[in-house]
Amino acid sequence: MYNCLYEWYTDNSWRQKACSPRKTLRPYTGSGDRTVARKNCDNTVQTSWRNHVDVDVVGEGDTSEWPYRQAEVNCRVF
Amino acid sequence: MPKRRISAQPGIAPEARFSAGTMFAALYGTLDPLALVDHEPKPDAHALFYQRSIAMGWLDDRSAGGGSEAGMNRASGLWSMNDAGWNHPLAAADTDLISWFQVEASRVADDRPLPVQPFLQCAASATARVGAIDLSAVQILLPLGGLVDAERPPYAPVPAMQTKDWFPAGHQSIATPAQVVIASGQGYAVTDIADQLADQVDSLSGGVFDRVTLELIESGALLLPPFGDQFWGGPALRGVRMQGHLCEWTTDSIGWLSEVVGDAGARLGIQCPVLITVTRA
Repeated sequence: MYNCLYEWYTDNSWRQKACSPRKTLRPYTGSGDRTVARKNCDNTVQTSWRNHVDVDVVGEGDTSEWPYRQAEVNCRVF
Repeated sequence: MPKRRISAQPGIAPEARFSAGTMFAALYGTLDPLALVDHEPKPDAHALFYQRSIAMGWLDDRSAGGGSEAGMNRASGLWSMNDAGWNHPLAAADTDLISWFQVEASRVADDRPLPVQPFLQCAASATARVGAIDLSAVQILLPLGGLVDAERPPYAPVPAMQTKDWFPAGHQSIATPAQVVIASGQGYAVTDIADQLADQVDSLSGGVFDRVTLELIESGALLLPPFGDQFWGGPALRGVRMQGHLCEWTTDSIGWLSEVVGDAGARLGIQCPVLITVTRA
């Protein structure tokens, strides 16, 4: 499993800014196991971000889904 | 003359949904483990809080997208989940922290307070799932910037007042001595208006919290919160301490009082996150 952060640009694109390392997580640990993607902010202007999580379940076929969570955050990266 | 190319810049997406900001709660005291929770690992605080939030209709799921359910009608609610735990790496070593919860508060309706009462209910319910709680203090970070755009209607200038009669005022047998410490980060937004804030708290919350004293305190007297300073521009330089009596020692009364302090502070012009620590004296 890993996650990546995408920042929205005015040409209506979502641009990847950071990804976590890949990690195999234990089941049923809630937030006890996690992957973390980090990027330092250049300033605190409010900006739209999406966090995409990519999961490969051990022993299962992959799906074409690409789910995300979106948030407007006081962090802008150039 | 050739046209200048304007390169794309980061910005706000058209479908953006604005939140009120980060809300954080830390519960302090003792936790007597329940006999039924004898398995390891200990049940996960994040999972318990998340599931309780869904069960009670409090979880806002509208930030999700991109999966096979794209376009579905997702639940609105009071908050979306960030994180939770029993311990926190940033907690001071000598505190009796028993659990903490971090959410993104949804945009506040014009006639509703920041949802501190349900937030603390959910936090206490999740914590009580693993043990009997004896609370000594509750710490809440309120995103008062999220109230800036709220247009309070005439019938609810301080929305929490609509629910004040829920509380049993005047019952000395259950009234509890308590102190309320209010602080902002590196600024003086709270201490600059200490007297006006205390006056508003007196006029609004009398019967639920009856204040006796008011004083300014230095940073050394503040209970350090178990979260990063970036959430609120901390650490605090100074704070305001009010001592008095709460009509009952419950997360409901603490949450209600915090909702009142939040709106009173916003009415007085505070726009930064504010940390409220309510301690049983």
